[in-house]
Amino acid sequence: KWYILTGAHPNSVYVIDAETDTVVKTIPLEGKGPIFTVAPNPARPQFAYAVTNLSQSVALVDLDEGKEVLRFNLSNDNELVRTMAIDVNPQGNRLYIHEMPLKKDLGKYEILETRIRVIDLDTNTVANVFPAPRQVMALASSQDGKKLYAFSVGRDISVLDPETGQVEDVIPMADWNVTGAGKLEGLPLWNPYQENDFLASFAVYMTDTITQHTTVGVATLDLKQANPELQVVELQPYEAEWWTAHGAVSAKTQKAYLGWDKLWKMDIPTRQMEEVRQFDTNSVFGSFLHPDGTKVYCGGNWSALSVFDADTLKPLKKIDLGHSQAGAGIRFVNRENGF
Amino acid sequence: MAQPMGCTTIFNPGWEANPWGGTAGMCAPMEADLLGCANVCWWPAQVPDSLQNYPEWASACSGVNAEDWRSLELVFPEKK
Amino acid sequence: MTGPALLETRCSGCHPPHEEGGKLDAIEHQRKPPEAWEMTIYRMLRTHGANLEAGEARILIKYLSDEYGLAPSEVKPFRYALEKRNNTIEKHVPKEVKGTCVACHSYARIALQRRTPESWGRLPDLTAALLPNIENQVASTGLLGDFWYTLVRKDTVPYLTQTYPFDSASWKQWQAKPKPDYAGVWNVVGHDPGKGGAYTGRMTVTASGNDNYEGQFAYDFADGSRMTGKNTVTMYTGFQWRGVAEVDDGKTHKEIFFANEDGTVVSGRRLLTLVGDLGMEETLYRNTGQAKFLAVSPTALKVGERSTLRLFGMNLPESLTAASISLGTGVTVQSLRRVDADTAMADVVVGKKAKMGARQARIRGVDGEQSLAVYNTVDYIRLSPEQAFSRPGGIRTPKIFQQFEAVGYTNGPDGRKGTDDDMKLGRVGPVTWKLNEYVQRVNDDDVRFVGAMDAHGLFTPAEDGPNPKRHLQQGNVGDVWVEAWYQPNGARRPMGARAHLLVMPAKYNFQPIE
Repeated sequence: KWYILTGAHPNSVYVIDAETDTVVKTIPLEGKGPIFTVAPNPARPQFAYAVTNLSQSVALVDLDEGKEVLRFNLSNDNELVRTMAIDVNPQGNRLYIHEMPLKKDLGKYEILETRIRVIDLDTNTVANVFPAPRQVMALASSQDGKKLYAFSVGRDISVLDPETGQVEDVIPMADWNVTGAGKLEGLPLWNPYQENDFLASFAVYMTDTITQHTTVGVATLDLKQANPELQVVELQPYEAEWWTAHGAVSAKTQKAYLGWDKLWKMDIPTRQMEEVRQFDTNSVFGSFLHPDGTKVYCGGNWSALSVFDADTLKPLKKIDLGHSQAGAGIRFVNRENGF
Repeated sequence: MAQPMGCTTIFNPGWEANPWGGTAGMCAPMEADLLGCANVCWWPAQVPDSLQNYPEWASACSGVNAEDWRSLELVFPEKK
Repeated sequence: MTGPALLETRCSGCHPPHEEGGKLDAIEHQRKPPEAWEMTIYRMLRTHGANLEAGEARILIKYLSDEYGLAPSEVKPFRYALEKRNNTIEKHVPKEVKGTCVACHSYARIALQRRTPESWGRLPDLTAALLPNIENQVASTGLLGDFWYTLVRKDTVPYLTQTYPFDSASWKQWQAKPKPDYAGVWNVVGHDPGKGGAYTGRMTVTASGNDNYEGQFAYDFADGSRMTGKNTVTMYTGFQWRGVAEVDDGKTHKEIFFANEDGTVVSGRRLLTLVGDLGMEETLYRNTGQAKFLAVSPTALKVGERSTLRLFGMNLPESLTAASISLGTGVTVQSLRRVDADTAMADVVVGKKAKMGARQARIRGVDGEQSLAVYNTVDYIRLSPEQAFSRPGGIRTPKIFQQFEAVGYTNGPDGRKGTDDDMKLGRVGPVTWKLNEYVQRVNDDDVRFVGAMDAHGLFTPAEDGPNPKRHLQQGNVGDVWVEAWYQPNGARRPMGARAHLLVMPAKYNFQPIE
C-alpha cells in the first residue's frame, strides 16, 4: 500500500494514505524547520529522513512512533554545513547527504569543498565522507545501489561509486555533445524515482546555437540500467504560456506530466499534447506521479496537494495539510500493513 | 526586456518579471510561492530567507494561504 | 562612546587587529558609503551576535563613513542607488559580475565598495555563508558558463580587486582636504515630476556640532503651491548630506544629497517616501552674497505669444530693470518686477521673426546664464520615464508608486521627429492620462487590475495579496501602457505618448542599497 511522505511549515513531516488521499500522520520535528527534502527508506518503510534545522540537520523519523528518534547534525563548532540533497539507497542501508561546508573563522568564513556524507543505516553512524561535485540539489541511486548519481544544477550529472566516492562517469548536460544543440538546463529536484520504476525525470530547457530557439522538454535517466544515457525529448516551445520548472515521466505509460499554472499531459513517443487541466486556486511547483501511474499529485508550495486522474487529468481531490508545503518535495513509500 | 536594478530574471521565472519582461507564467498568486522561496533563499533580495538571515520571518503565520501572508514580517528601513 | 571606542569594545572581539595596534580585521580593510555601513552593522546585530545600545549604531555608521568612506568621484557614478532611483536600468554591468552577482542585487551595491585584495577575496565565502543556496539559485539563471564558485574565483574577485582597490588617490586627496562648513543660506532650484513642477526657494542651515545641522526651507512651485519645512542633516564623509525633513503638510522627507568638492553646490534627491519611489530633484547653491542667475521658468516660449518668466537667482541688484534682461533677438521684455533679492518676474513677448531654437537668457551685471527655447509648435510629446516599474501594496507591503511627466518637443529645423536637432521644451499640460493593455498573452487583462492614473500623471498601484477575481487568484500585477494625451490650442487633434509600466509582485525585503 503506497503512502506519501512530505513536509510542511513550520517543521512537520506528513504521512498521507495514497489510496484514500487522506493525511494519516502529522509528525512535528523538534526546533526550527524548514523541511526541504524528505527521503523514505524503501527497505525499512518505518523510517524516513528529513532535512530540517535551517538545512543544517537530517532528522531520522520513526513513522510508527510518530516522532523524531535521531538527528544527524551537520554543522559543528568550526564548520557551518548545509544540505539541499539527501537520498536513501534502494537497499535501505545507506543515507547519502550532500554537504555544502564553510569553515568558521574569527570574523570570516571560508568555502570548503562540497562532500557527500554516507551514513550506515544499520548502525546510524558515518560510514564514509568523500568529495562531491558542487551545486547539487538531487541525489539518486541505481537500482542495484552500486552507483550514486549527483545532479549539479546548470552543470552535468556525476556518477559516483557510493562506497569509495570515486567519480566513475559524467553524464553531460552543460556541455551536451550535440553540435548545434546548446547547453541543456535542468533543475532536478524532488525526484520520486525509486517509486517510478527507477526512472529519474525532470524538466529541461535548451536553446540551440543555430537559431537561438528555446524549447521545454523532459530528460529521463533509467537507473535500472548499468550505464544509462540521458534521454531528452523536447515537448513545447519555451513561452510564458508553457512555462514549467518540474516534470515527471511515467515509466509505465510513457506520458509526461508537466505543470506550473496548469497541468499538461503529453505522450512522449508522439510528442502530442493529450490533456490540459487549468488549476483553480494557485500555480504549483511540481507534479508527482503515483507509483502505479494512476494519479498525479500537484503541490509543493501552498497548503494543499491537488490530486488528478493520470489519464483524464480530472480533478479527484485536494489534500489540505493546513500549512504551506513551502517547497518541500514529495516521495512515496510502500508498506503492506500501513501506518 | 529591461529589468530594473536589483531585479532578476532567471529561467524559473524571475521575481520581478518572467524572462520576457512580463508577469505571465509566474507563480500565481505570488503568496503561494513566498515560503517556498524563503526556505531555500531563492530570491534573497525580495523575500527574506528563513535559513540564515531571517529565520523568524514567517513564524507568525501558519500556512501563508489566502489570509496568512498579512502576518509575515517586513524587512523595512525604519530607523533602529 | 566614540567610534573608535565602540570598535574596540563591541567589534574587536571578532575582528582583532592584524598586528598589535594595527587595523581591525575586515572592518578597517574596506571603504563604503553610509548606507552600506548601515547594512553591514544591522547584519552584525541580526546574524552575527553583535550588540549595540540605542544610538551606538548611528555613531559607528558616522565614524566608519568618515574614516572608511568613499571619495566624491568614487560615489558619483553610482549615486542613483543611494538616491533610491530603484527603477534605474543598469546598462553597463561588466560580464565578470553579471551572472555571478547582479542576478540578485544591483551592480551599484558592489561598485560602492572599495576593499583590499584579501577583503574582496572573502566576499564569495561570506555570500555562500549568508545565502546557503546561492550557487544553485544563480546556476539556474542559465547565465553561468561554469560552476558559480569557479567563476567567482577566476573572474569576479580578480575584476573587483583590480577595479575597486582599497587605496586610491582620490580617497587620499579627499581625506587630506579640509571639509567645508555647510552652515549658511542656500538658494534652491528643484523639480517635482509630480503636481508641483519646477520649484525655487531658500534653505537656511545652522550648525549644531560635529557635522550635524538644522535647517529651514520654503519652496514655491510652478503650480502656485508653497512648501515649508524643517530638517535635521548629518554630513557623512564631508560631502554626503543625509537629511530628514518634517514638512508643513505633516509628511516626512528623506534628503539624499551630495556636495561638490568645494562645498558650494549640493544636489540630489528629496525622497517623499522611505522607499524612494517618489522624489524630487533638488540643487542647493551656497549664497555667498555674490549676484548669481540660477534658473528660469518656464524654459520655453512660443512665437507670437506673451508670457511671464520667473527669473531666480541670488542677490539680484536693486537697480534691476527690464533693460537689464537679455533674452536674445526677437524676444522683448516689456516689464520687470523684482519680487526680492532672489526672484524677478518678467512679462515678455516673442516677435514673429524671433529665431527658433535654444538661446541663452542673461541678466546684466549678474553671473550665470540659463538656456531658453523659442518654438513655434509643440510637435510631439514624450513621457518620462518611458520604462517604469511599480508594485501593488497597501495591506502588508508599501505601495510602490510611479510618477510620470509629459514633456513637449519640437522637431527642430529639419522638421523631422526623433533627430538630433529636436528640442525639448519642458512639461506640457493639461494632459489627460489613461492606461491601456500591453497585450503580451492570450486574453491579457492586466489593465483591469493593476491600478490607476490620476490627473497629474501619478500611477497608484492596486492592493497587494491574491485577487480572487483573477485566474489562479493572481495578484494585481501585470504590464500596461501608460498614455498621456495633450492637445495644444489650435491643433486639429490631440497628440499622445506612451510609457511601458511593469507592475511587479510585492516584495518583503527593503535594503538601504537594493
